[in-house]
Amino acid sequence: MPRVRLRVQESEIRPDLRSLYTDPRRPGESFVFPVLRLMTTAVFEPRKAGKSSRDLFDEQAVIDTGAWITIVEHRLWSRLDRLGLIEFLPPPAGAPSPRAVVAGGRAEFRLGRFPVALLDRDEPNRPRQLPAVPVIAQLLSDPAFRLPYPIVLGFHGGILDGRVLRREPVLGFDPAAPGHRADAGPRFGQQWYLETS
Amino acid sequence: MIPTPPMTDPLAAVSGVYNPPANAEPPDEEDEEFDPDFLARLRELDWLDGEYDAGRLAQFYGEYVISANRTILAHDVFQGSAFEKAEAEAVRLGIRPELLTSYSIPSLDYPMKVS
Repeated sequence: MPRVRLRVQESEIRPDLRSLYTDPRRPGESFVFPVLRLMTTAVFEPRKAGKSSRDLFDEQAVIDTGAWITIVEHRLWSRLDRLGLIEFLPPPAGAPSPRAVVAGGRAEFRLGRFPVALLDRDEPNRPRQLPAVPVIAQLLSDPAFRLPYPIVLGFHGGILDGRVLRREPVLGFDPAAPGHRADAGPRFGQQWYLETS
Repeated sequence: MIPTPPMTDPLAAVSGVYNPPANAEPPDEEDEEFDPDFLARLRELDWLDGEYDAGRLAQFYGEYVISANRTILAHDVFQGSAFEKAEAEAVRLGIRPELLTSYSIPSLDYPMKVS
């Protein structure tokens, strides 16, 4: 059964945005709540163009089941467009220009569809892959708008469709284990997979 | 009281909602062969993960770094600009452009606008 392991990344955040707290159950101590994101490696490949050279490229991507749709920064989707990968989905005649609400503001976007495969980089010389599926996304029009990562993979109409998202508990964490921020899952008691059903 | 302009519901003319096809999963491609340059870039990503873990990329928060052969060649908030700088540096160092690897360092804000 094809499946890829997803990574939990512990991110840094601006000091004034950190969630610091004390716990009445542990007097005298203070804590910081970690900034964890579920990550994967998205792969984009031109259809019928082989898999050579620079046209096959990857991007770190956040999986966000709380995002109702996938959203993509301008510079990424414009590259996909140059490769002929995007099929634009224009609004019906007479419909207003679509705008996304991002960071409390409104950002214009176009809607488009493109193929996304997922890669498991645990073995860089022999990566495992979930084949490409069509993803419908909001393509941000403003090149200056930066998301935490170039692509946020949303809940519906994308990489989760028809697949199983699995979270397994990791018990007995070893404090001496490597504390990778690039894959902090085991350190925080969890391991994630996406697999075909 | 501010009068509300009459609105027509644009959804009235919509034919349906999006639903993915039930049999969308293509055949298993687990044993697919990858291009050697692509695999080299994956190994570079592995190295960049380690650099990130070690905190050695902290100076690049919110930027893209471009590296090859375990050397960071350029960085910029815009990936295109980072690539342009890296390509010039790659020519100088005799590195093939196919090996240039892009790595996105998350910003400390979420999300943000750059200029």
